[in-house]
Amino acid sequence: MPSITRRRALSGAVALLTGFAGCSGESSSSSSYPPEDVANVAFDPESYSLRNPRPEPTVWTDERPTPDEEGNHYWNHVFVTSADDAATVSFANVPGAADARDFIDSTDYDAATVYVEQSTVQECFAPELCHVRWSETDVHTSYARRYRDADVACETDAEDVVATLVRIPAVLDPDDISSYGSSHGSGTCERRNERIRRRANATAGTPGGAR
Amino acid sequence: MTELTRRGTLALLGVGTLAGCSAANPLGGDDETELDGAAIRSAVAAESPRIPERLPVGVGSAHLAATRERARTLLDAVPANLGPEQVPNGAIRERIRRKREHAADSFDRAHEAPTPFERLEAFADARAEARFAAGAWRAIDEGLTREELADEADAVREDRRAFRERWQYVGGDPVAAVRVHAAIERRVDRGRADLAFGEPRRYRLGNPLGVGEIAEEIERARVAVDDAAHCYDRLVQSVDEPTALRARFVDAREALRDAFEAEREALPSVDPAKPWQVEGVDVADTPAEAALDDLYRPVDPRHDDRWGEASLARSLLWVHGSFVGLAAFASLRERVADGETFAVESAEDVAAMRSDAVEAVRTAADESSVPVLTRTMLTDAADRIGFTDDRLSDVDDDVTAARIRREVSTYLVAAARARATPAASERVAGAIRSA
Repeated sequence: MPSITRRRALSGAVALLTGFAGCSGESSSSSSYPPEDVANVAFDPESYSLRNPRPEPTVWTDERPTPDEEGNHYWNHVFVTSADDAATVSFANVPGAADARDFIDSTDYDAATVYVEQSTVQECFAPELCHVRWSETDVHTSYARRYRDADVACETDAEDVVATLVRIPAVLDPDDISSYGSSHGSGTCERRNERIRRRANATAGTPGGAR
Repeated sequence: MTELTRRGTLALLGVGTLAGCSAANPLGGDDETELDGAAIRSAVAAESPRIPERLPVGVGSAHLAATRERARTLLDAVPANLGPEQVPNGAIRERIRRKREHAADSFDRAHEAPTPFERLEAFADARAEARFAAGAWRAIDEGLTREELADEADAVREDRRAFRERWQYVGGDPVAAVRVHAAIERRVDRGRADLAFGEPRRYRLGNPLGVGEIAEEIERARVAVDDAAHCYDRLVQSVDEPTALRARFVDAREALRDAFEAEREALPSVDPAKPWQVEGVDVADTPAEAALDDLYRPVDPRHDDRWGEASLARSLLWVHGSFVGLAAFASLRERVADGETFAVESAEDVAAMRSDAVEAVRTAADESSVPVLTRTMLTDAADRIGFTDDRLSDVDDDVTAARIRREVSTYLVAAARARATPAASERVAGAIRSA
C-alpha cells in the first residue's frame, strides 16, 4: 500500500484532488473516488530534479521566498507557462541548477507546461517521478520512493529539499488549477504506473492489463 | 492458518498498544470503574504456562546442529557494527543492521527454546534474516548481484519439486501423522512454495537491499524444504510399515464436517454480526461480550472455506480448532444465559479470571488423552494468556475496567478454549482413527 501524502496548495481554499486507495476522509465534493477519468496522464514524463541539502525553497519566481525557520515539512509548487515566466524563475545555488535552467528554457510552451514541485524528503531517499495526471483544474503527481545509492553518505534523520521539474505535455492555465496532489509509495514506478494503466483501460471499457 | 504460533497470536491480537485503546476499541465500553493497577500488575507477574510446540517425531540432533551452524555462518558474514565507512547510506546501513540484529535475536531464542521443534523454527528465522543482511552486505562489499543467486534459487525449486514428488500422506499413528504432515505442509505448500523468488519486488535493480531480499527468500525456501524433508524422513523412519493415510484423512474430514455442521445448527440462533447477543441478558460492555465475539469467529459459517483447504493435514487441525471453538462458544454462552456477565469490578476479578485460564490450560494439558492434538491447541491458549499478561504488565495505577476489557476477555477465551480442547481432541482423533 503506497503511503499517500497530499499537500494543500498554499493559496486560499482549494479542493484536493482525490487520491488512491487509503485516502478516504479528505475527498473533495467535486471529484469522484476512485477517479474515473485518468485520460490525462503522462507516464515517466520528461522531468529534471534538483536536490538541495538545505531546507529552503529551491526554485521560485520573482522574489525569493523566506525559508521556514521552524523546520516544518515544506511543500511548494511553481508553474512555468511561457518563456516570459521562465525568465522570472530562479534557482538556489545547488548542483544541477544550470541544467534545470536549460530544462525550463528549452520547453516548448505552446505545447507544454512546466510544473515544479518541491518538498522535503529524507536524505537517504530520492523521489522518482512515475507519472503525472492532470485536468483543467487538477494536477497530481505520483512518485516511487527509492533508496539512493549505497555509497551516498546520508543519515536517516536528515532531510533535503528536492525540486522536481515536470514537463506536462499540455498547455495549462495555473489560475484554473485549484487542486494538487502527490502520492508516494515504496514500490516501483512500474507497479504504480501499471495500476493507472489498468484503471485507464477499465474506464475505456477495454479488458484490463495483467490477468 | 491452523498452527497458531505465539507470534501468530500476537499478530491476531495485536490491535495496538493498551495506551489509548479504550477510545479506539469499539468494544471498549464505558465502564469507568477504577481498578487497582498495581494489584493487576502483580497478578499478571505470576508464572503462566507455556506449552511449547513439539513434533511427535522429534528433530534429529545432527539436523539441528547443521541448521544452527548455517545460521551462525550467515550471522558471521556480516559485521556486527556496520558504520558509515562500510555503508555510507544510513538508510541502507540501518536496514542491514536491523536484519542482522533480528537474526541474532532469533539465534538466541533458538538456544532458549524448550523443544527441538521450536529450536528448529527459531533457527529458520535466524537464517532467513541473517541471509538478508549477508546478501545485502555482499552486494555492497563484493558486488554480488541478484543474477548470481539464480542458480541457487533453481536448486531450491528443484529440491522442493523433488520433495513434493516423494512426499505422501503416510505414517503409523494417524493422529501423530496429522501433526507432522501439517508441519510439512506449512513448509512446502503450494502457494507459499511456488513463490516466484528471484524476481525483484520491493527494491529497484542496483539496490543492495534487493539482493538481500532475494537471498532471504531463497534461504527461507531452502530451510523450509530441508526441514520438511527432515520431518518427513523422521516420520517414515519412526514406523515399521508406514501406511497410506490420505483417504483416511479425507474421510475423517468429511465425517467431522457433517458432525460440526449439525452441532452448529443445534446452537440457539446466533446473529453472526452480534454473536454476543443472548436473549434476556445484557452483556454490553462486559468482557463476556468481547469473549463471545472472539470465540464465534472460527465457528462463523462465513469462515467455512477453510474446511476445503487443499492442505489436508492442516485442514484437520483447523477442524479440531473449530470443534474447540464451537464448544467454547457454546459453554460461555450458556454461562452468560445463566446470568454471568464476568463484569470486572476489582483487580481481584482480573486476577481470578487469569488464574482460571491458567488452571484450565494446566488441567487440559495434564488430562488429555490425545496430547498431540491438545498440545497444539493449548500452545495457542497459553500464548494468549502470556500475551495478555504482557499487555497488562504496565497498566496505570488507576486503570479503568473499560480500558482492559479486551484483555480480560482474552483470559475468558483462553479458559473456555482450553476446557473444550481435550474432548474435541478425542473426537477428532476418534474420527481419524476410525475413518
